[in-house]
Amino acid sequence: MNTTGKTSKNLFDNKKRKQTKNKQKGIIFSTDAGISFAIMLISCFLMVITIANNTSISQRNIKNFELEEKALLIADSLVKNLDEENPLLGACIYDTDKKRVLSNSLSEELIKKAKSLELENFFVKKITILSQQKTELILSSKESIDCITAKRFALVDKKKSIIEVQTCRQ
Amino acid sequence: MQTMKKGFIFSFEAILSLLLLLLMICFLPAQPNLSLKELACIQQANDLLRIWSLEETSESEMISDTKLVFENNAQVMMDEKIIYDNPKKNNSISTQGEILDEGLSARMVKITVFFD
Repeated sequence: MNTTGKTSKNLFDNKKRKQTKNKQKGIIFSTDAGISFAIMLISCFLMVITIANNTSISQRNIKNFELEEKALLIADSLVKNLDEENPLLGACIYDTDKKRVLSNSLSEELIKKAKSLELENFFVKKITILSQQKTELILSSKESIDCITAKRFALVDKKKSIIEVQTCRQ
Repeated sequence: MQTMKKGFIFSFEAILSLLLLLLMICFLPAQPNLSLKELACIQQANDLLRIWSLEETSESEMISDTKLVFENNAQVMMDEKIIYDNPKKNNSISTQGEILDEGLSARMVKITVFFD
């Protein structure tokens, strides 16, 4: 009985000692982990902010790029093609002798017949002809903050002019 | 005490590596700005060449047309001779073409556009 009593006392002491040891280790570990965890949290927070910022910048860039692309395409089509249905997409003079359209030679009369063009995410707001005088042809009365103007140099009724096509986001 | 020292060494390394990670994240290269500026410039320069080839154009007219389109951000060369020069920006793009003059002799015209 005595032996058993001693053994159980020893076991109890050992357990207590272990508990104390574990407690100490636990405190050290938690301080360590606490510091690392705090730094990790700050890092993650900064990482999320940086990624979110980069994503929003990229999104804005892509949207502007798309709008710029549309504006350039429409302006290019205007000075290179002939579309009698909607002269916004082509207002060049047709040379009957050569049987082809004369690129960069436009007719003001045709330009004035241009109709508005509205697609899913963009629309053409206005066309401006800058020669000796300024002629502005407003195609849409919609308001928009994001607008891009594509500029081309062409002959309008044999007068050197700058054609500006303003395209805006819906 | 030994355990404490060990623990501290580990945390110091962890702090260093995390700080390094933080620095790396902060200095991540930003996405380049997408733009069709070069295309727009080259289209406008080609417009000039096309119109000069359609009509007889003197050097002074070429200069005034270039100023009108590019607002002093261009250079015009005719047969290796600079007739108009106003470089201001770091980036540039060039286009060239041959224009027939009154005597039907070909003249090489090169337009360089400067932009940001």
